[in-house]
Amino acid sequence: MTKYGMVIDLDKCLGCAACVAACITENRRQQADKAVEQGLDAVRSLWLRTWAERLELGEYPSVKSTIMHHICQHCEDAPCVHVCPTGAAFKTEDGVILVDKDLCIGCEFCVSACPFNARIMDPVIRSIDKCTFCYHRVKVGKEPACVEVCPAHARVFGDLENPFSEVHALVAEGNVVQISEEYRGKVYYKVPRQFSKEELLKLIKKPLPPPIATIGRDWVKGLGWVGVGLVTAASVGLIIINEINRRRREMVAVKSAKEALKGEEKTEGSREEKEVK
Amino acid sequence: MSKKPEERMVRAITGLQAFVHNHILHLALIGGFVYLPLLNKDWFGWITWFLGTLAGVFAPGASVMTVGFQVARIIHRICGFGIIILAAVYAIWQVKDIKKWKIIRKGGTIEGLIKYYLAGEHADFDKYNPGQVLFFWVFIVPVVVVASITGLILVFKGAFDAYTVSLALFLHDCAFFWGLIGGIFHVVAGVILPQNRPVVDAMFRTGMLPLSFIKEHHSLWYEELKKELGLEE
Repeated sequence: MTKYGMVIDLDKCLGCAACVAACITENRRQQADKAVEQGLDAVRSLWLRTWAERLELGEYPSVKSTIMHHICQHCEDAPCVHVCPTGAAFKTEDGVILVDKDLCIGCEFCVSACPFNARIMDPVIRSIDKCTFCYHRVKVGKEPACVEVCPAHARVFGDLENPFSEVHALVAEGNVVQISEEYRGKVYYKVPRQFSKEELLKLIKKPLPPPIATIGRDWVKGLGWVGVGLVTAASVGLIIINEINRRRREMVAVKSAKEALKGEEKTEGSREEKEVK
Repeated sequence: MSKKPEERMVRAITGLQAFVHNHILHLALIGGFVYLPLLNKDWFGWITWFLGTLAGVFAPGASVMTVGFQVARIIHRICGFGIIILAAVYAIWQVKDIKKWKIIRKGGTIEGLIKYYLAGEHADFDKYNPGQVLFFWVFIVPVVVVASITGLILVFKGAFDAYTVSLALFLHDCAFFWGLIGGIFHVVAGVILPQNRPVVDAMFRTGMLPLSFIKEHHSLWYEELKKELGLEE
C-alpha cells in the first residue's frame, strides 16, 4: 500500500523560499491575485500552506541555526479528520490528508485541533486550506510543486512504503526526526550536521493539545446524548408518576365527596322520617 | 370590598428577572439552533443550506454550506455576546441585594422535595425549593460561566495557544450538553408538571403569583410574606 511522505533535508535547505513561492503559484493563485490587487494585508495567510523560519539555538558566540519548514504533517492519526463534523477533512488511501471544500463549513474545529498550525481558514475561498502534497500533481505522476522547484533538492517526496524510494532510504538511514511522533506524521526532517537529534527536537517540538481536546470531543458527544436520553426518560417517568398521583388524589377526593354526600342524604332521610312521624 | 388574603397577588418575579430569563432563553434557542448542523449535518444541514442560500445573494462564488455556516457563526456569536451581557448585568444588579438572596438558602428538605415531586404531596419550601436551588448552582451558573469564558476564548482564538483553544472547545461542548440536559429538566419540572404552572404565567406575563399558590407550594415563604404584608389567617 502506498504511503506518501516527505523528507526535508535541513542540511541542504538554503532558505530561498522557492518552495513557498511554488506552493502559492501552484495552489493559491486566487489569493495571490487578491494580494497583488489589495496588498498583503488583505491575504495574510497567503504563504501559510507551507512556510519556513530561521530557528536559533544557544547564545553568542556559540549559536547554531537552521531553517525550519512548516507544513501539514499528514498524520496517520489525524486529529483534524477526527474532529471534522461534516467529513470534509479526510485521509486518502495513500495517506494524504485533504479537505473536500464542498463539504467544508469553515467551523475551524480542525484549525484548533491541528497541533502543527498547518490549517488555515482562507478568507478568499471561505474554506479551510492546507498542504495537499499537491495531490492533483502526484496523481498524474508529477512531484509536488515545492519538491520540483527546490534548487538544493532539500525536499524529497515519495512512497514511504516502497523500499526502493529515496524517501524510504532517507528515513531508513535514521538521521531524521518528526515534530511529533504521537500522531504518526509522514513528514520527516533530516537533522542538519551542526545539530544533534535532541537539539533539533528541542527547537521544533511543540506542546500538543491535550488528547481530551481532540479525542475527548467524541466522548462528550456520546456521553452528552446518553445524558440527554437519560434525563428525557427520567422526565417522562416523572410526568407519568405525577399523573398517576394526580388521578389517585382525584379518585380519593371523589370517593370522599360521594361518602360525604351519602352521609348527608342519610341524615336528611332520617330527618324527613322524623318529621313524617 | 377587600379581597381574601389568598386571592391577593404577590410579585414573585421582577421585571429584570423576567427580561433576563426570557431573552437568555430566546438567545440560547437561536444560538443553539443555528449550530445544530455541527451535531449532525445530515439531519440539520438544511439550516446551514438555508442561511447560505440567503447569504449567497451577498457573497456569491463560495460554497453554500460554507457561507451558511459563516452566517450561523455570526448569529451564534451575537447570541453568545447577548447572553454574556444579560447575565453580567443581572449578576451585577443582584449583588447589591446579596443579603436577601434566597437562592443561597436550602429552602426545604430533600425528603420534602421527593415527596413533592414524586408523590405530589405538600412539603414546606421557601421561595426556591432545594431542587430549584440545586438547579441554579449545578446547571445555570456553571453553564453560563463556562460557556461564556470558553466562548470568548474561541472568538478571540488568535490571542491564545492551540492548547487553550482546544481545551476551550472541549469545555464549550461540555457546557452545551450540560445545558441541554438541565434545559430539558427545567422545562419538564417548570412547565409540563402542573404544580408550577402559575410560575410560568408569572415568568412570561404578570410576574405575580397568587398567595394561595405560595401558601400551598412555598409555605415557608408564605409565612415570611404574612409577616411582611401583615396578613391574618
